[in-house]
Parts: sequence; structure tokens; C-alpha cells
Amino acid sequence: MTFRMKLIISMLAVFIIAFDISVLLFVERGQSMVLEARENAAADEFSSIYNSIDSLIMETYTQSGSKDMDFCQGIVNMYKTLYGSGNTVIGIEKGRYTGKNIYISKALTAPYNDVVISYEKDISDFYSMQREWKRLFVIVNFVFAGILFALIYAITSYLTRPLNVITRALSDFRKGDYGSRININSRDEFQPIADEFNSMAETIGKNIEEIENNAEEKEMLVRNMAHELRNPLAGIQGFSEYLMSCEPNDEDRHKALGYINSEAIRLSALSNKILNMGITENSEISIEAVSTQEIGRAIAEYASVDLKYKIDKIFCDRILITDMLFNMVDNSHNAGANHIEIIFDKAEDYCRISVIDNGEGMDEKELKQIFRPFYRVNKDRSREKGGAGLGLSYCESIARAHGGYIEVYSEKGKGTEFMIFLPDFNK
Amino acid sequence: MYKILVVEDEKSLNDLITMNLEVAGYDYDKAYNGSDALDMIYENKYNLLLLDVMLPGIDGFELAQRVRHTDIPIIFITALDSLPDKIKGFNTGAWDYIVKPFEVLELLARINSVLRNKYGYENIQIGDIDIHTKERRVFRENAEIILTRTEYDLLETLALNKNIALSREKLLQLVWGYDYEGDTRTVDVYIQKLRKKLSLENNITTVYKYGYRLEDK
Repeated sequence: MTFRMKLIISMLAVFIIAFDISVLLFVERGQSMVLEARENAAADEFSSIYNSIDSLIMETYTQSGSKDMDFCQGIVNMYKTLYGSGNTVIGIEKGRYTGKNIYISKALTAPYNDVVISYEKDISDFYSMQREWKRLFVIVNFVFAGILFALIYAITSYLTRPLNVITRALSDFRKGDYGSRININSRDEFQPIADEFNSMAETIGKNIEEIENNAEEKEMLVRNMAHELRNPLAGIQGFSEYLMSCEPNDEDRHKALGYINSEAIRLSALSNKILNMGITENSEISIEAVSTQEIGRAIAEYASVDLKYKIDKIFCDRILITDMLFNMVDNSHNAGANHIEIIFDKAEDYCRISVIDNGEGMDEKELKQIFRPFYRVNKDRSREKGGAGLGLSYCESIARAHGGYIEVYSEKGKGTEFMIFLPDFNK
Repeated sequence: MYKILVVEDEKSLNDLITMNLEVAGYDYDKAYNGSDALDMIYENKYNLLLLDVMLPGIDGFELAQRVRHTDIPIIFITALDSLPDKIKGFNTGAWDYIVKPFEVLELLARINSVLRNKYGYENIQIGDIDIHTKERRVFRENAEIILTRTEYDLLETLALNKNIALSREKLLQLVWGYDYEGDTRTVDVYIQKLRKKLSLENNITTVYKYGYRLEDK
């Protein structure tokens, strides 16, 4: 049974019982009042008739001094015809109480005290009226119940509407619509349920999105990995097959051999990078205070860069950080930069190394993906230089291994700035 | 002559495929990205597309979708070997799906199979010999030469891969089947028979310590 049905039935029951009890009490009270009034009126009528008869008989008795029963009978008969009517009977010791009448009797004053005047009033009309009322009550009861049902139905439908909204939202959510929210503005007990659900849905939605993103990223990684590994393999296999089974001329033979060689080199570079990444992610690194000048000199030997020192020492694994900066300088060159600036300074609790170039920069979409393994901003150019798109994910894993992180700012056409934050142990 | 468009962004693989197509006697064009390929498909007439999936710009699946109305058969050549990717590939209307790395002979066999299904059997001509592949009959200067089933299969295999050396093991596999447990000398015996019957002594050359090649120059 639905909550609404329960509500309707219980409300209806309470109302009908209350209504019936009050109506019955009211009717009961009314009826007894009517009955009492009728009895009083009957008693008044009887006493005036009795008094008249009694005084007439006593007057005659006083005058004659003898008891005259015939006269007495005559007087009573006279009153009988005078006041007797359809429902009133007056007589001498004749009436009786039937349950549907009013019966009063009283003996006359002595010496006529052997004569009892009886008064009988039929009130069956009262009882039939009472029956009529009962019937009316039943009818009114049904009509009232009907009206009440309609009213309660309407009221409960208004009150339980939030329940329907909640049910619909939950069911949508279950079916996989994680954007489903409860939109009610009832400011009653349903409101906190709705608010709680909405914030729960928000959290779940976010988590699911994250899980989906992770799965997607993982799939992308596998696809890219397959691509990076299988393409050179296909080249090596195919060209060696070609050399074995066809009789190429010298030019084609050299071409095939050249490709086999370059694809093998590409594969070995790729395997080195993957192994490197595994090493930084799974092993302890040796952090020591390294002179920034020393790192700067190593980079200056590798490429022409503009170096600025605002701190003397940073705390890092010298080899890994130098390797990271080589990678970044390579990236800048690949982005067409002709001026690269490296600044060593402090930023709150971190030592900061900024690599700023004037290369072609990246847009927001590219920026979002650059730390993903195998992502390349410029596929063709990067591959010509033997890149696999692992450089920045390598850099990031180095920064993470130090307990630091990398931030990047870039503008298309203007250049890129990488900031490497490493924990400062000098505090 | 059938003309094939090779869409592959890796220069090395593009060269590999086209060099082998050249040996097998196909005409070809090269494209290194999706949008160039699209332009070339609209400007030229191709009998077959060999399509990589992970291409810069328009990827292979999308390209296949876009040229579906041209009714050119497509074979995907890709590093993506997952079932969903294969299904996606076939859903774009592709005829075949080859995963890298692949054997060149297999690629050529699949190309041949697609072309046969699409354009019907084509007679092969080697010197003065005509091979009617549909009827499996061989003619020399209009006179039919009767071959046994195995002899015919061997001839056709050599002819379909003309100018390519096939190792004895490969020939055993292709002609006699994977589960044939015979000696590689069986191949030598049948090669002798073919040379004699068809006077192909000069065309079927022995590749030292490897196998045989049917030359047609």
C-alpha cells in the first residue's frame, strides 16, 4: 500500500469516527431534550385536568355532603371527551405504560380517593422521527465521507508530490543519468532529503567521472603504447622480410637497411625512457643540497640559455634534475624557441626553477594533455627528433619523486613557462 | 592495374608498404595524414585504401566513415588490436583489419583477396603463360596445360607473389596448409614439375638456402 493510501485511509478513519461520535452525541442530547419537554408538557396538561376534575368534584361534595360516583364518572367522561384526542387518553384506571407513551395517574382527594385519574399520551411520532434522523445520519455520513475523501485525496497528492519527484530522480540516477537532481522547494522534511541526495549525487557523479577519465586515460596509454611499440616493430619486421624475399636494387636495399636501423634505435630509446620512468617512480632518490651554479653550468654546456640565480642551493637529486632541465630545454627548442631563460629562486616553502621560452606556445587544449605519456604537441616534428611523447611525464614523475610539482603557463604564439617546485629543506 | 592509396603517417611504414606493392606490381599513391588522403581520394580513382588508424588530424576511422559513399574497399593496418577497435573498424565498412606488426606476404594475400572479392578474378599473365584464376586453368600460347591441384595451387601462389622470394616453409604453409607434416623437399619436387610442364626454367629461380621466386620482368 502506498504511503499516500495509508495517509488517506487513516485520516479518513479518524475524521469519520470523530464526526460520527460528535453527531451521535449531539443527536442524543437533542432527542432527550425533546423528550423531556414533551414529558413536562404532558405533566402540566395532566395536572391542570386533574386539578379541574378534583376541584369540581370536591365543590359538589362540599355542597351535597354525599359521595356521588355517577357524578364523578360523568365529570371524568366530560374531560375525557373534552381533552381526549388521537394521542391523549384520559380515564379511570385504564391506561398503562407501553414504552411509546407517557403515562401518569393520580388518585382523587378523599372520599373519592378510590378513583384514580389516568393520563396517557402517545408519543410514537417522536420515535418515528428518531428513526428518520438515523436514516438521515447514515446518508449524511456517506456524503460527508465522500467529500472528505476528495479533500484528503487532493491534500495528500499535494503533500506527497515531493515523494514522486524524489522517486523519479532516484530512478533516473539508477538508470545511469548521473546528472539527475531533485528539484523541490518544499521547506519541509523532504527538503533535507533532497539536499542530501543532491550533494551525494554530486559526489558520486564526480567520482564516476574521475573513474571514467582514469579508464579513458589508461586506454589511451595502452593505445599509444601499442602504437609506439608496434610501428617500429612492423618496420623492422617488414623491411627485413623485404630484404630476404625481394631482390631490391642498391638504393632500395640501403633505404630498407636505414629504416631497420632507425626503427631499432627508436625502439631502444623508447625502452630506455620507459625504464627510466619506472626507476624514478619506484626507487629512492638521493636528495642533497646542490649548487644552482653547478646545475646551470651543466645546462650551459648542453645548450645556450640565459641563467639567473636568486638562490645558491636547491635540494634535489642532481642527475635527475639536470636530466629534467635537459628535457625542458629540448622541448623549448622543439617549440621553435631561440631564447630560453632559466631562473632559480624561492617561492614560499619551495625552491623554484622556472624555464621560460619564446617558442610557439600551446593552447589550453594542448596544455591539458602535455603531461600525458605519449602525448606530442607537434607529432611530426617531435618524431623526426626521436621523441616519443614521454619527456614531460618523465619530468613530472621526477618532480613527484622529490615531493614537488610542476606548473605550466603558456600562450599560443608567445611562449611557455614551466615552473618546477621542489621542497626547500633550508628552513 | 589496380591503384592503391596508402595512408600511413609513419614514413618508414608508408615506404615499407609501397615498396612491397611496387614489387607485387600494384600502382600506388602515398598520403601521410587524413586530410591529404581525403583530397587525393576525391581527385583520383583508387581501387583500394590501406588505412592507418592513429593519424594526425582526421583519424582512420573517421576517414573511412567519410569516404564510405565512394565504395572504395578499405583495409585497416593498425597497432590497435583490441576487439572494440576491430569492431569499430569493421563497422565503418572496412573489408579487412590487419594488426601491426604484420607479415608482408599476409598483407599482399589480403589485398589480393579483397580485390578479388570486389572486382572479380583477374587473369594473371607471366611471360607467355595465362592463368585463369577463376576456372583454375592454365594456358600457354592458347593451348591448355593440365596441372594437378597442388601444382596449380603452387603456381598461383608463386604468381600472386611474383618477384618475391618465398621460403620453402612458407610455400608449404601456403600451398599444403599449416598442418601438413611433409618435408620441404616436397616443395622442390613440385617446383621441378612446374618448371618442366610450363617451361618456366628461367622464370622460377632458386634463392640460395631460402626458397623460390617467380620472376616476371
